Amino acid sequence: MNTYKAATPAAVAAFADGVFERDFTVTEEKDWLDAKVLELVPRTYRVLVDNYQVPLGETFDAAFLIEVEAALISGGVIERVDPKPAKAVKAKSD
Amino acid sequence: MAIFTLTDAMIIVNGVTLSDHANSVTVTDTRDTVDITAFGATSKAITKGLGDAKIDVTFFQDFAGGKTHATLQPLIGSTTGVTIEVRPTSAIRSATNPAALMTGLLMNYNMVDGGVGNASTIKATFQNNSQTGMTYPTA
Repeated sequence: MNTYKAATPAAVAAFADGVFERDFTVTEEKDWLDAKVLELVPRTYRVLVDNYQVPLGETFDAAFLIEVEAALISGGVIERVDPKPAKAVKAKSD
Repeated sequence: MAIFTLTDAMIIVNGVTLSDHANSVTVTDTRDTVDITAFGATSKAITKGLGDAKIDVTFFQDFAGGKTHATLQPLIGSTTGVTIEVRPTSAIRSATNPAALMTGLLMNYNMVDGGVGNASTIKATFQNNSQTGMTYPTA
């Protein structure tokens, strides 16, 4: 699952207005990006090794293609830092 | 930089530095030879055709996270090019330490290759898959 933003009015109609997540295949992603219909939206990652271009333990934002991200995550190089879920709010009881 | 001995080459694959797991690297930037010899010529005439580029690296195998296997194995099944960078030394890019930079596909991966008592090495070939080919940035 990667994060995208529609870059044309047609793409907004076909996908969503603003940022959205979608599980495209590698080919679908390449086609949409090459056609400039969609843009990759950067995500936040944490570095897990000491030989990556960003120092160990630091976080950084990057817009990786599906297979590039998969290679780095499966290789134990980086991990996603997903935003924390919103705090649960206790329902009021009357 | 004067004539130098290659002792500290920098090899970065998909952002991961693997220099300390490699002992040989070859950067190749080529152009096809196109024959344009016409009738009446007395010698062959040639021009340059399409460009091509590749980077060959001999790595020592290591199965730890972020090392040789973990970095290369996912790339053999991938059809998306990744950035490969080679520098003569590990110093930052400069006019006297230019990088060879290419977006490439890993075309072979021999996970285990060697005889008894030998270091386990891998000969990896990255083939260019971008229209920019090999570039040589100095900054």
